[in-house]
Amino acid sequence: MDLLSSFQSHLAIGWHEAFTLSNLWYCFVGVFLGCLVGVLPGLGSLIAISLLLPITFHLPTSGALIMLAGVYFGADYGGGTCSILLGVPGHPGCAVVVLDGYPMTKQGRGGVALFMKCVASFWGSAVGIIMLMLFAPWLTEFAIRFGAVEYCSLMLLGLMAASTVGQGSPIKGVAMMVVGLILGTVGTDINGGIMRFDFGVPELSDGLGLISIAMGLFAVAEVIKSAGSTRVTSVTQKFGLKDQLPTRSDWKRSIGPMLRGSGLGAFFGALPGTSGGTASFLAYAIEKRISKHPEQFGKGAIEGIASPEACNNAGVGTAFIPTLTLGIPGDAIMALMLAALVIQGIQPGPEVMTGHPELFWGLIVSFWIGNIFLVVLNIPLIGMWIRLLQIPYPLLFPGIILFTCIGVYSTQNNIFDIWTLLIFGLVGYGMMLLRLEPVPLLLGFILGEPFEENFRRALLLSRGDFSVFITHPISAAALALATGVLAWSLLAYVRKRSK
Amino acid sequence: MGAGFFPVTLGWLLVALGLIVLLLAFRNTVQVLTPPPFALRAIVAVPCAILVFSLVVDRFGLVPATFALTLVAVLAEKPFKLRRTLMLAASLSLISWLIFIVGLNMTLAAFIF
Repeated sequence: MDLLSSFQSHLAIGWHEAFTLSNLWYCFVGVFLGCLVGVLPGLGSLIAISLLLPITFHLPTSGALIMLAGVYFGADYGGGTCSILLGVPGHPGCAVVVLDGYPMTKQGRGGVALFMKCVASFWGSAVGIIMLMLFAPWLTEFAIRFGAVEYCSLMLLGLMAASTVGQGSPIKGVAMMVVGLILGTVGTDINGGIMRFDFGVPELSDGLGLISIAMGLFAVAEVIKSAGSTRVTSVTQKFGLKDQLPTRSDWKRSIGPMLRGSGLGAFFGALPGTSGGTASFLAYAIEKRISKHPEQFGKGAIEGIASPEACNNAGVGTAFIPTLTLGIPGDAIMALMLAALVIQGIQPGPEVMTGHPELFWGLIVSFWIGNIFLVVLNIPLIGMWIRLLQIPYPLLFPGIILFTCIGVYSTQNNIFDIWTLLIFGLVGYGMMLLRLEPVPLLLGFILGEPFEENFRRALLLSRGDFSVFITHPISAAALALATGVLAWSLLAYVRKRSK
Repeated sequence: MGAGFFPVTLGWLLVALGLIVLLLAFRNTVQVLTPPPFALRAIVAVPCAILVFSLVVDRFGLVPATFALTLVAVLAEKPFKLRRTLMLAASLSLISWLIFIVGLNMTLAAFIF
């Protein structure tokens, strides 16, 4: 009963904050722009958020976060649309939807696939947000007692998980994470005020710009890769409302997978490093195994859309749990969200919820509103997105470059940031050629400063005694988990390669 | 523990990881990876477009910088169509002027004379 009443009062706070005209508008704009960027092939939620992050500097705090969350939901959703219609994953996270979504399009059932994706993702999001509402207050109470030692070890766990659970070699992932940490040390040392790696360049005394690095590694590198290569851009089908309605058997076949997928996604999303994308592959594999007709998978089975999509979106919701309560992001997108908080002058951590309840609960209520906008924008207006998909790339990519340049320049009105963008664009393209993952680098860069700060504070308090990291139980558990994650991923990688 | 401790430790860690990657690369000579797409035009044109933008924007303003960026960027793709490019540059100028200068009130001049 107590839980229910606190639930209600929290919702009331959030309702009050989210239902202002300006915040509803920011939410709508965020979802709309997210869909717009996400639906374009090759541009995923990470690029969408880093493209739109500079714009949010000019907004009030809650408006900025509501808009960014809307961008995240929208871009994730738009990527799936692109996967189903063109057979090209909009970004790695929605690679699974291609498997059965594109065959359905080729059978003329693309509309049904899009509709079911919409239902599944709404259901998944709902599960994720409810989990977030239930567990975030509980975890906050727990986290308020954490000290520097605990934070340090938890960050290490997050970094380790994010850099090893990727697609490629875990050693390269960890190496990229270390590069990110080193890049994070550029600028004034937080403890002593000593300049590090500034090479006498005054612009480097504040460190490298996060937006420049993120946009360079992802957006610019992607444009360099995509410009000049061939692309599929033809959608010939009609998408009226009639063509989208699933049959009774479609519904019957989708409900079970949706329930299972959302449960799986909610669990994996809350863990550091395992984004919904990784979990949705697992959800797909499970559905295929328990299905009575596994031979239909890959040829347009609707279960292959319902389950991964519900899984992915449930994971989006629960990924906010560690991000908002501990201030420890599970993946690079969450790290960018935290960066937005910091830019707005709010220190991430358990104090976000206790000190700014209107911000926290307003954000959560806006998740609901954003998901409703998503349904409204995508079922009746699907024709608009399809037309957008068919814009030829030569007309598109100069605009992408322009917006990254203006966005980066607008952060400090400094040309230096554009040069940083340029350099990291080339670095990001080089990393693509060498198959190095950019995500751990970015996460390392963002967590570098807080990690070093907590690390040195922990050792200062213990008078240089490293054993504090093992004698504190939560820290020891986190370190054990981090070691376990590393060992497990190394083992899995070696086994995969020796096959 | 001073300011140098953290970077130096990370540096040694990176050296160790680099050596491991190097040694593993020697061992697995059998594995052949398909080369990723390598388009020289795009590799040159896209960075040049960014560079040109950075040189023009604070001397001549946003609109000339947009035209310069667009004109260089389109060289990344083969058939160069002047009319289409100019129309694209004009509409991009209009959009970015509306969003960033009118909408967001950024301190950015459209033209500097």
